[in-house]
Amino acid sequence: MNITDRRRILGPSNAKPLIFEKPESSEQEVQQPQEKSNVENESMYIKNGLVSNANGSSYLELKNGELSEQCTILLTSVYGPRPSRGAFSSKASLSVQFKEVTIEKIPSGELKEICNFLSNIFSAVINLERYPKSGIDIFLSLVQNPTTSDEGNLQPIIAACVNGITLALADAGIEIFDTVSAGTYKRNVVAFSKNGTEVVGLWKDKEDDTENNILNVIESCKESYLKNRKVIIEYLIRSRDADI
Amino acid sequence: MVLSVTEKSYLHESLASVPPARPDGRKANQFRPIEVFTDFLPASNGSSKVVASDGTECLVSVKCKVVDHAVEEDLVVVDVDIAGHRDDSGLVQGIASTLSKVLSTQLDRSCLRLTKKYSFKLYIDVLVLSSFSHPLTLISFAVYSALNSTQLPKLISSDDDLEVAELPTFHDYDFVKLDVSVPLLFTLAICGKNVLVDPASNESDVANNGLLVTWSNGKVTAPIKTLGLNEDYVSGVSPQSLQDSIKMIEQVAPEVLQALGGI
Repeated sequence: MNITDRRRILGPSNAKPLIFEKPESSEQEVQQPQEKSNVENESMYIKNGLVSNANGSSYLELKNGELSEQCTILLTSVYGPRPSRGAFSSKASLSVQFKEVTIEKIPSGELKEICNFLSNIFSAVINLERYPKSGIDIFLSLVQNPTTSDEGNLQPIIAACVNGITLALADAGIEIFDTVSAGTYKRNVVAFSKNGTEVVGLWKDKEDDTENNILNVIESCKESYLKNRKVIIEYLIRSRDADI
Repeated sequence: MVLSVTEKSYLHESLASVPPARPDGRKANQFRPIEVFTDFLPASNGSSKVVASDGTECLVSVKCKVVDHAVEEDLVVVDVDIAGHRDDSGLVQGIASTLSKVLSTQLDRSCLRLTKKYSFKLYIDVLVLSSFSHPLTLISFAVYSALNSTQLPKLISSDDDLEVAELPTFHDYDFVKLDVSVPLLFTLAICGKNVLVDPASNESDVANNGLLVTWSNGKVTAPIKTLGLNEDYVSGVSPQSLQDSIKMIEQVAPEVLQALGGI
């Protein structure tokens, strides 16, 4: 019986994967407290592939202070591309579900708004044309949320969601056009692509009187975007080197 | 109407060209003509109906209730119903959440204050009878005209009731007009480098991104958010386009307010 995969274009049978030379400073250590410790005492812990039945997953811990209770913990899992039944679609359909696993502090309407916002960002970023007749489902579980409900401060959570989804998509091997990441500044979140020249998502839900010009806000978010993206890319390179 | 791939591509090219060629011949900063009817529901304190040129129709009713404002925190409740969409769909819940957040944070609570103990609580019910494009701008216009035509019962008892256990009593038929400044929400479509205000459904289908901008008390305020208008053409936009959008709202919002105020 012929078992070759006729749905995908495979390379020639004698093809070998490209292997790059390992960089000098390759370490197994994934925690990077020094990377971001100079900005607002923030650090990020990343671990990919914890959810075994998902196609890709990422686990993010964002430390905003000294105490472990002040950690934002987010688990993202990506299922797909899996075949979708029904009418033919020339590109993959994307769905984003956000859930608070422990205490529900965020009102359900706002959760829906976050899901709409995130799926809009990632519709622009995932190469959906590459996966016809399929569906990609992203599930976000907020394991720990340090902010209290009356503050309603969703900015760090939204930024963590964007970073988490990018990592999980990379883990799932789904084609993305760019490593999208989000940066925050006061009550604003901006998600960038193409090295900060394009904005894929903007979320500003509270006015601050000090900054009126949107370009200045975007510029400030870009600094934090570049830092986050650097951490993400470094992690991905290190984990790939560890696999080889 | 569903457009074919070729039609969409043609439309996108014409909207992204300089100056943008919109299918209905509008300028980039021009709204569709709307018809507004107010104060026609006898059972509510304020009401309005807004009909857009493409047949999108939106009804808003405002009802009031007297509550003890020490007990009830929220003085504005918004409920949104869009025909053809489930109540738990992302569009409906997103619009309801945005509207109630904007109205409850930006409406001046002192305007609803009745006595030292009691306040009016407003129930704003939004019903979109038929919608073809993203209905947020239209809903916002309807909420604006409904709140500005709202008549509240006139208080005849004393407004200092902290010491006395007395319920407020009202005049038999006299009303007082609700005087409150209402924020407006605008949707914009960004196509290439062009910014288009009040996108029609075919324009939304090919926009690179959408933007929600709020106008309140004479200036652009939060929330400012990107909105998904379609799934096929969505892409990143330059920061300059975002600034252009805000500039455009700063330019057109006073004219829109003037037009809505003339009703």
